[in-house]
Amino acid sequence: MRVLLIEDDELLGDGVRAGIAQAGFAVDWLQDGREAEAALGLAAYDVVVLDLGLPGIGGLELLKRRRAVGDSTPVLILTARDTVTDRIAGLDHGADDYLVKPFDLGELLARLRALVRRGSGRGEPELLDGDLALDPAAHTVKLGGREVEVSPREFAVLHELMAHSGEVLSRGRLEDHLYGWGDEVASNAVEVHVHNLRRKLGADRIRTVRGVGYSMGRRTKAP
Amino acid sequence: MSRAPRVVSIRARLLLLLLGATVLCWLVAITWSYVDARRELAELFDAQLAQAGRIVLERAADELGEDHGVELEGELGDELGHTREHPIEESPGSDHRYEQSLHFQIWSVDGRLLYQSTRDLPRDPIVPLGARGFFDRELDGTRWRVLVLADPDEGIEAQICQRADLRASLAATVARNMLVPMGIALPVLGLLLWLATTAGIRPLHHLATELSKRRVDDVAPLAAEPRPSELAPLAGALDGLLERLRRRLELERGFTADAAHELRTPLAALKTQAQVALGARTPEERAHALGQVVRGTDRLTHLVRQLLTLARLEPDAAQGFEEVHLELVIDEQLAALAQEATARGMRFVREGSGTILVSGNRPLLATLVANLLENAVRHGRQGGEVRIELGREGDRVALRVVDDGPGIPEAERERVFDRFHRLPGRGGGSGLGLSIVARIVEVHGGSITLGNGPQGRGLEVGIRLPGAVASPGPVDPGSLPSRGLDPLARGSGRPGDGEGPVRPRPDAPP
Repeated sequence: MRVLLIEDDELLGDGVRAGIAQAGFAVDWLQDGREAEAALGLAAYDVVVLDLGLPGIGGLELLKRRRAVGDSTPVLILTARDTVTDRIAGLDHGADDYLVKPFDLGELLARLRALVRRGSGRGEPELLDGDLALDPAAHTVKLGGREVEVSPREFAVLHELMAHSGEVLSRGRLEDHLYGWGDEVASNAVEVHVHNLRRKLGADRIRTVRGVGYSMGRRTKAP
Repeated sequence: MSRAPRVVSIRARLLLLLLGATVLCWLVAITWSYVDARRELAELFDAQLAQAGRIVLERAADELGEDHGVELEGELGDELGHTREHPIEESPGSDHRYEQSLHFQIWSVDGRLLYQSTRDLPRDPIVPLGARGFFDRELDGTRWRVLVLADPDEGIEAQICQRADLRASLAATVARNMLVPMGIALPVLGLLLWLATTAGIRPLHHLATELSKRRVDDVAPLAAEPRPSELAPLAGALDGLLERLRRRLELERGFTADAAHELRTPLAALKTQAQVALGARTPEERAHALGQVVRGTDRLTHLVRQLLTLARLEPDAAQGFEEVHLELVIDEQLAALAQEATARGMRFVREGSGTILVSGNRPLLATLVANLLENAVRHGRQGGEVRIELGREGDRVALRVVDDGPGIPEAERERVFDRFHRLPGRGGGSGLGLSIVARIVEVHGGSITLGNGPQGRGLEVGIRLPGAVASPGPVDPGSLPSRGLDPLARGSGRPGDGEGPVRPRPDAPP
C-alpha cells in the first residue's frame, strides 16, 4: 500500500510519516500543494492524507483539481477546523473521509485501511487466498489457521499481491508500494522478498510471469 | 447651596430639594407678612394713641381751667377708665386680651406735674419737657410707646404712654397663625412630592430593570423605545458602550477560536510523535520520535507565550509609560540572542549610539525588540549579518532591523501582520511575532514599515516611535552589556559612523 502524505507542518508530517511507515506502508511526504499535485499526476497512490492549510495551493483546491481530472484515489482530510460546515465543504469537494486534529494514529491507520479496502471494492477486512489469510489491521498472515512470521516488507509485498488478486504486478509497481522516495532500494529487493515468502508459504503460492512480474490468486492454479 | 450631600437616590434628593425650596418660599412669605403686619399694627396703635392723647389733653384742659396747682389725681383717671394702679399684670381675666393699657402725665409748661394716671409712674417727665411727637421709652423693664401733646393756650402738656409689647405679640400671633397650617401641609406635600417623583423617575427605573436583567454577554443595543429627553443621552451613551463591547467580544471570540485552532496542529504533532515512539521498533526510531515530542513541546510553549503576550496587550497597555533607554533594551536583547546568532554563524552590527529615550512601557519594548531580532536571526541568511540602526528623526525615534535573508514578498507584506499568518515554508513559528510587534508599536503611537534591505535583498523592518526628551545625564558606556560581546560588533569602525541620527532613507512601501 502506498500513501501520499501532504502536510506542511514539520513535526506533524514527520510523525504521521513515521507512523504510516511503522504500519508497513510505503509513504511519500510532501509539504507543498503544487508539488503534491505534480506527484499525484505521476505516481499511483492507494490513498492520500491531505492537510487543508497548505502553502502553494490549498488542500481543498488541490482536491477539486484532482477530482476534475478524474483521479479517484481515496483522500482523507486532516483538519484543524471542526465545524460541520468545514466537514461538509471537505466531503463535498471530493474527500472520502476526514479526521480532526489532534487525532489518534491508530484511528488514522484504520481509516486509511478502510479507504483502501473500499477503494478496491471489498467489504471484508481480511484478504483470502485459499487457506492463506492476511489481516491488514492486525498485520498478521495465517496459513491454515496458523500464524506465519513475515517481515514488514514481506507483508507489504504479500498484501499488494493479494489485494490485486489475479492481476500481474510488475517489479517496479511492487517497489513503489514498498518504499517511499527517501528509502534505499536494493535492485533485487522484490526478488528477495518473494523468495522468502515462497519459502514460508509454499513455492507455488506466488506465480512468476516471466518478463512481466508476479501474480497471485485465481489463475495461479492454471498450467 | 453648598456641596450636595452624598447622593443616595435621585428621588430622595429631588424630594429634599423640592421640600426645601417650598419651605424656604413659605418662610420668606411669612417673614414678609410678619414685617408688614408689624408696620400696619404700629400705624394703627399710634393712631389710637394719638386719638386717646387728644381726648386726655382736651379733658385735662377743661378740668384744670387756670388752676394749675390742683392735683387731679383719681377722678380723671377713673373717667378714662383704662387706667389703673397696676395696668397689665394685674388685669382681671374678664378683660380683652388686646385691651390697651394707657397711662399719662399732665405737665404745666413751667414744669409742674399737674396730674398723672397712676402713682407707679415716676414723678419726672417720661420724655423731657418741650419735645413733641412719638417716643419709645423703657420704664421698669417694660417698653412703652410715648406720645407728647401740648395745649399752648392752656399752657399744659400731656405725655401719654402705651405698652409696646402688645404690638409685637400681635404681629407674632399673625405669623404663628400662618405657620401652623404650613406645618400641617408639609407632610402632606412631602407625600405628594414623593409620589410625583416616583412617577417622574419611572423611565429611569425601567431602564435600570432592563439593564439588570441582561446576561453578561448580551451586548445587543437597548430596546428601541421612546425615552424622555433626559434619558436619551444616557441610553445613547450606553448603546455606544454596548456596541464597543460587542466589537471587542467578537474580536476576543475570534481570537480565542483562532488560537484554539492554532493549538490543534502542534497538539496533533505531539500526540502522533508520542504514538510513534510507543510503537517504535528500534531505539533510533524511538529516540527520534521522543526528540520530536520535545521539539513540539518547545514550539507549543513558544506559541502559548506569544498568545499570552498578545492577550495581555489588549487592555490599557498604554498605562504605565515611563522614559525607556531604547539603546539599553536593544543591548539586552542582543545579548539574549547572541548564542542563537553564533550558532547560525550570524553577526549583529549596531549603528547609532548614545542615549535614545522613548516614552513607553519597558517590558513591551523589550518584547518588540526581541521579536524583531528573533525574526532576523531565524529568517536571515545563515552566516549573514543583522544590522540594527537606532537614531532620531526629528522628534521621533527610528529603529531599523535589517537582515539579508529571503525577505518578505511585496504581496505578503500586509498579511504578515495578521494573527497566525505564516509565510509558506518558513518553519513552525507561531505566526504571531509581527502581530505582536505591530500591536506594541500601535500602543506606543508609532508606525511600522516593511521594505527590502540594501541591494534589494533581505528584510528591513522600520519602526518609528515618539521620542521622549533626552535627559542630559550621559549613560555610562561600561554599563552597556553588549560591549565587546561576540558576535556583537559595534558599527563598522569608520570615523563618525554610529554617531548622530541614522541616515534618513525613504520609507519602504508597507
